[in-house]
Amino acid sequence: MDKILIDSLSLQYADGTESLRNVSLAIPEKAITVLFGPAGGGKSTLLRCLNRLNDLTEVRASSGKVLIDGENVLDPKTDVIALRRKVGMVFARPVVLPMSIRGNLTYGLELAGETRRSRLDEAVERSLRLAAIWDEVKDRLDEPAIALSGGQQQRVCLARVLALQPEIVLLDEPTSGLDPISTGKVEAALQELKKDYTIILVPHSVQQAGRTADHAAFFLQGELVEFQPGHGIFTNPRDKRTEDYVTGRFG
Amino acid sequence: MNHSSSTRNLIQRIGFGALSVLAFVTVAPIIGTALYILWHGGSAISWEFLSGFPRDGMRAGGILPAIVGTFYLTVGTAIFSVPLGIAAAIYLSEYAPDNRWTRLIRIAIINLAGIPSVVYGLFGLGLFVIFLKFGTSILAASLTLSIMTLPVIISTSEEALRSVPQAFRTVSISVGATRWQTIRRIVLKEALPGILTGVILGLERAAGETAPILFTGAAFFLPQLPNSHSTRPWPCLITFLSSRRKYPTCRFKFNMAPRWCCWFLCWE
Ligand SMILES: Nc1ncnc2c1ncn2[C@@H]1O[C@H](COP(=O)(O)OP(=O)(O)OP(=O)(O)O)[C@@H](O)[C@H]1O
Ligand SMILES: [Mg+2]
Repeated sequence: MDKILIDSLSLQYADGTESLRNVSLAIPEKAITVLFGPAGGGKSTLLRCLNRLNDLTEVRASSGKVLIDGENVLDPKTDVIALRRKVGMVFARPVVLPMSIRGNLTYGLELAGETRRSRLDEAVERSLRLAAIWDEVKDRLDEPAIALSGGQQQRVCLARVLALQPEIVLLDEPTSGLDPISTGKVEAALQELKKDYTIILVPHSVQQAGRTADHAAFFLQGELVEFQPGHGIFTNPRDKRTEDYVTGRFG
Repeated sequence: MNHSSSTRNLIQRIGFGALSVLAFVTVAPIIGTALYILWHGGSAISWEFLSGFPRDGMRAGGILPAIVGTFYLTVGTAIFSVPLGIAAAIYLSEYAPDNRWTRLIRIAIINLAGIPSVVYGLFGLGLFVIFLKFGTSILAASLTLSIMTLPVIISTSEEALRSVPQAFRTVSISVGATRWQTIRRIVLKEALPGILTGVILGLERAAGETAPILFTGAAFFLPQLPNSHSTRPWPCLITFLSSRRKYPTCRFKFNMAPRWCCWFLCWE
């Protein structure tokens, strides 16, 4: 089953940069789909279309559709608040909000109107366990989140997204600033998460793409060069440019 | 290696020494003045002085009306200028698009902060006292001081709001917060110390100004507590100012100094 259908999506930023050019892509549910490619390929731009975070930046022109569960989320009538609860996002740099660890996790739920302490506590524990950080922070939930290490902060950020019980999780180079051990923990958490969530990951290296991908798409300068379900893109790339990139001969 | 590190050490020490001397030069006169005045005239501050009314063309008696008047004025100014100033800062920093029009508004605000207070005083006299017929009153003076304080509060608060990292806003929005929820729960909380600095700076300026009050609310310097309107607000003040100019030294005795200081704290 495809969770997300991207249909001839194009996007041009206010300064004229064509960041996405006629991208069409079907993203299967409950799997990790990896979007990879060199810098400036439009991967982050594509992710920000899925939860309408591009609303915050100046976009000159965009066209095409993004269907999530059959509904075009680019439609101006879309309830973006509900959309963002359903489509969570983890950013490259871990950004914890200036409050306690618990506060970070309950922030979104409280905004959604949840006030019952038991429900909040339950969500805190569940999401911290899913993000593989419960054991490290369970005794210090009321301390400021900023006191955690970068790797821990990033998993708190992942937990903050999971606390809202989204259906789709977008991760934009979530491990680019982390050491190999923290990276391993995040990747292991993702492997668990994909049983219940649709995950789209922009990896920080081709190696990570290969390690984590169930399906992979290769982006180059705003174009989707190649998409293959499964690992085919790494073992048997059809496009010359993809082959050059995955074998490290790109340039 | 060894040589260069010891040279660096020396430069470091010279720099540190120079800074210490400069800091001392700046602070010493202030502490010295305060101690000198306290030493020679500390005995002149009394309960009667703080709680009494001025007598003798303001050359004797107490300063209660000035204290109470300053209090009313500051509170009045805060009521008008703080909510409006913070709201304007929020609009400018969080909602207003960055175009020629908003840039013009920002420049105007910064320039307004630098206008001499006497100009605000005359403006308040024209608008509030005469045109809107508020008379010389706490209301007119508070409004005038509010207008004078607003630019300071707006520009400092806007600066404080802008210094809150953009990433906090993005993250908050991405977990389903509205813009206003983000501002209220994250941005304002983070910017609060900076905003308070702006509010204090602004109100300090308001509490210490003479010129605008001179035109719009000098009633407080009557030898009575401010109630409604005053019959002769100006003469007292002007007598006071001119008497000080005419006999600067012969009237200035050391045991009067703390009183003068208090006058100034309340007046300037
Ligand atoms: N807010 C913006 N305003 C203008 N141009 C932008 C903006 N964000 C991205 N771009 C441009 O859009 C293009 C695609 O950027 P994007 O961030 O989507 O690439 P990316 O594939 O995520 O790259 P990276 O691997 O470096 O993160 C780039 O040329 C970039 O300069
Ligand atoms: Mg990117």
